Amino acid sequence: MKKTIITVATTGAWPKKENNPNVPMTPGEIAEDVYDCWQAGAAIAHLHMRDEDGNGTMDVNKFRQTVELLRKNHPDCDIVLNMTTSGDLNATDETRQIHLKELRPEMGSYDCGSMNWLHSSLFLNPPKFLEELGANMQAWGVKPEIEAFDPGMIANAAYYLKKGVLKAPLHFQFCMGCANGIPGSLKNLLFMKETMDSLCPGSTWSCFGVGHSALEILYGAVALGGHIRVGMEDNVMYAKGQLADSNRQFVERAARVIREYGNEVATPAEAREILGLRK
Amino acid sequence: MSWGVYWMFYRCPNCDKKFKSGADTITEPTFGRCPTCGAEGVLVGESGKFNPPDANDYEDTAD
Repeated sequence: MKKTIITVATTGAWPKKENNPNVPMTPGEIAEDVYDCWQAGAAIAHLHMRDEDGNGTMDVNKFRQTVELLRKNHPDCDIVLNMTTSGDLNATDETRQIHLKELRPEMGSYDCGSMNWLHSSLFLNPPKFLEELGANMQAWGVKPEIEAFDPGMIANAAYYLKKGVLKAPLHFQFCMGCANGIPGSLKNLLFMKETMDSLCPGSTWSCFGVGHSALEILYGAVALGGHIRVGMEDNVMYAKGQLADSNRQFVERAARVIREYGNEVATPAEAREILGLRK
Repeated sequence: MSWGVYWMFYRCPNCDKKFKSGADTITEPTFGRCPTCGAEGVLVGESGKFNPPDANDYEDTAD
């Protein structure tokens, strides 16, 4: 039976308690939330950190503290950790990578191109940074999760594959419905998948839809044979007019959809097998 | 990294209702229109810049 991987993105860089009081913000809250979601079926946790004011930070000590709390308080939890490299628009190339070097998570995000950010700023991932990050991730044994906000970023990944900056098989995260990125729709999801199949055959993929496209993208991912990401990084609303109670609520819904379709929810061990992780 | 829905916040010039439309629903006929009286709203804020402090009080216009 086909296995579908659920990634939970618990926190992200933007939502605060005023947007949803249930967003985990501190290392302690994030560690407990990750454990809760693992129990509900999440195989991968995508981690962002916050500073004391609740703003996104790439502080390696916050990442370290979260991992230590998770491992110490929940030694049974074998969830795959996937750490962001884009948790603060003002971070340097060095601070975007130092936690990968020091903590060696099994996965890390790799945003495969630059774009405007919230119609007000820039989300910069220039060639020099991507080449350095790709080489370092290979050296450190961290599998890149290639975040593609539009089809051009998939083409960029194909270029870096040819150059040896990235190594096959690639794993993509299609980020759908973000401002300045590809809108979230089933038609666009299919286009992203076909672009990937054409340019980077043999790759695996996951996806998420922010806001109103979340369910369309969830069902589409399962039907098209992909994997799915859910959580409050992408949506603080569970449904129209209904704030999410928890990240677990999103994971449980994804698991129900996967099982109703006839697939099985992948365990972390199965996710490692599917993605070819080092553990 | 994602950043959730990009909201555009409106006030109705007729009934003063507060409402918001997500940029991911920009093609919907309800976008930017008052869900109560249907009037075209006056833009008063956007995500990340001029974000109203009472943003959660704005009604989503999406179907």
